[in-house]
Amino acid sequence: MKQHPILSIKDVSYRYDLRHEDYALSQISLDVKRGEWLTVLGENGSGKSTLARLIVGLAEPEFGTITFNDQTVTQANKSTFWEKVGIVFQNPDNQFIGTTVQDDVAFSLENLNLSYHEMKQRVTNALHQVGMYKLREKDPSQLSGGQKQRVAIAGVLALEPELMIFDEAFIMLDPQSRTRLLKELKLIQKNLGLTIISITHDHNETVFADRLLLLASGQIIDQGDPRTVFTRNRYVQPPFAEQFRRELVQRGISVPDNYMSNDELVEWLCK
Amino acid sequence: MNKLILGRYFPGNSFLHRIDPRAKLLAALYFIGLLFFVDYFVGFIWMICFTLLVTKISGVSLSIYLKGIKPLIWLILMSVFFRVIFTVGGTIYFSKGPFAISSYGLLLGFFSFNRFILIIIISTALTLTTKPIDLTDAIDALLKPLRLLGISTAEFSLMLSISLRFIPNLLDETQKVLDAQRARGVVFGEGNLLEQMKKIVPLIIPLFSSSLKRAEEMADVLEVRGYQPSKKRSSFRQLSWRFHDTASLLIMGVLTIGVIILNQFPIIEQWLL
Ligand SMILES: Nc1ncnc2c1ncn2[C@@H]1O[C@H](COP(=O)(O)OP(=O)(O)OP(=O)(O)O)[C@@H](O)[C@H]1O
Ligand SMILES: [Mg+2]
Repeated sequence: MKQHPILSIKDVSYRYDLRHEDYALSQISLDVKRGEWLTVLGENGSGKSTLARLIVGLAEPEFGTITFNDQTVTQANKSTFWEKVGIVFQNPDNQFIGTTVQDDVAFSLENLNLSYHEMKQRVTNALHQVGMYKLREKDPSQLSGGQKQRVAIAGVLALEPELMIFDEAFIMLDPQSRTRLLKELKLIQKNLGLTIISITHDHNETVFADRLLLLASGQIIDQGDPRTVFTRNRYVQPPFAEQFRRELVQRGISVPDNYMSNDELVEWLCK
Repeated sequence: MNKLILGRYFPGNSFLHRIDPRAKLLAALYFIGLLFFVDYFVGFIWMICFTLLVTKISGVSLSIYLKGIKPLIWLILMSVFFRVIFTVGGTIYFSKGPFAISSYGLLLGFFSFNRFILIIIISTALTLTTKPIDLTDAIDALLKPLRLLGISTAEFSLMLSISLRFIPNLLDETQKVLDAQRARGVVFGEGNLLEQMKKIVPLIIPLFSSSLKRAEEMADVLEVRGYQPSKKRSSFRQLSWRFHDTASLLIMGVLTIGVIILNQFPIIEQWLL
């Protein structure tokens, strides 16, 4: 039996200003399977954040429909989805609601009316995962941008939703912590069957993706597994391993002729 | 801006710091109310002694409290002055038309001076030893009875705590805009009043627009993080009431008994009038 997608977007168009013809998104169609990691790549202003806002119901598509768990997302029922969808926005400053780190991570849980004991456990876990446990008593004015981003990520982890959306949520993290956190997320995703939509400019982050979506000027240019997408769209900068392979090809060294993931490259080099 | 002591928090671990914010808030309000039931001089001495004791156990030096009074001193002296010259009674030292300086007037002036100062010191002691957020929680707890009347106090508390959370951001932004203007050659604090006002306008506009944008984004975040005003929510910040909190409220009882007893002894008053 074919599994129903957790999220299904059909022919969605959206514009911020109804007086003008420029659509931020036009004719977007896309299914996200349960348990997959979808990475959305696109330039500034290509409509990535707009897509995220539409999915969580902060904006309503002008045309088309968005369904989550086989239910259409509307302005009337959007509040029933927020327990199951966690989102981290681009700007870490304005999504910090609590007065301290742990208060903020607990905010969504308070809204679910969870018991103190349960909250305490989830908050502690999430703060450990993002490496912010030591700073749990700090207030936002004492934190750096990257630390605030970690807090926002912890807030989503503590919520334990079915779908997590990260809108450039990792860009302010230092490369080391970013890789560590992404690896951990990948693990959590696999273990819990979590679905992740990650919006990014970071081409190296695409190594975690099960599927890639290219967005430009509000339209989907291509989608598929990273191997196919990077092979089909030569102008898009691929992750490091593939860049390295292409460089070797240009130098006339005989390398396998198709896209290579990090592991494949390492294996090939060792041979 | 940094001179204002009232409303500031001094991190510490004194006895007063450790008392439950609800107990502290209740006690402070009670103390302020009690001040208006003190009739005689000896009663004020009693209240002053108690206040000095409070400043002592707050672990903050008395000079900080006095600094807190300083910005308000002229306002206080002025109202005390009017109190003095409009009251007539006892020995009259000087009089002209409706104004007079009399022994009774001086006594009442002294009383209201004391009330002002003690109210400021006690509120300062409260805010110096209580984190703003704990104070918000305490206010929330004390307003709870209003919920029985169908007035929703939870939103008010959330609003208060979010405002507290954004004060540093706003100050930060002001500094940024100031710096940006300075870098473009604007000199603040120079020129006549009109010129200075003109320089403020380009400060206000960016601050206003950034605050609006911030508010908009915040509203979105509140929404997607599942906040619904009418829904019951639990609280991660837990206040715990302990024995010494009850004890500190009992001390208010002792204070009251003292006031009732001393209200029988107009010692100074008999001697003066
Ligand atoms: N609040 C808004 N009002 C009007 N137009 C907007 C608004 N937000 C975005 N847009 C427009 O919609 C388009 C898509 O913006 P969006 O924020 O989705 O881009 P993005 O892909 O997230 O870009 P970035 O990488 O910079 O975050 C842009 O052309 C932008 O000008
Ligand atoms: Mg964006």
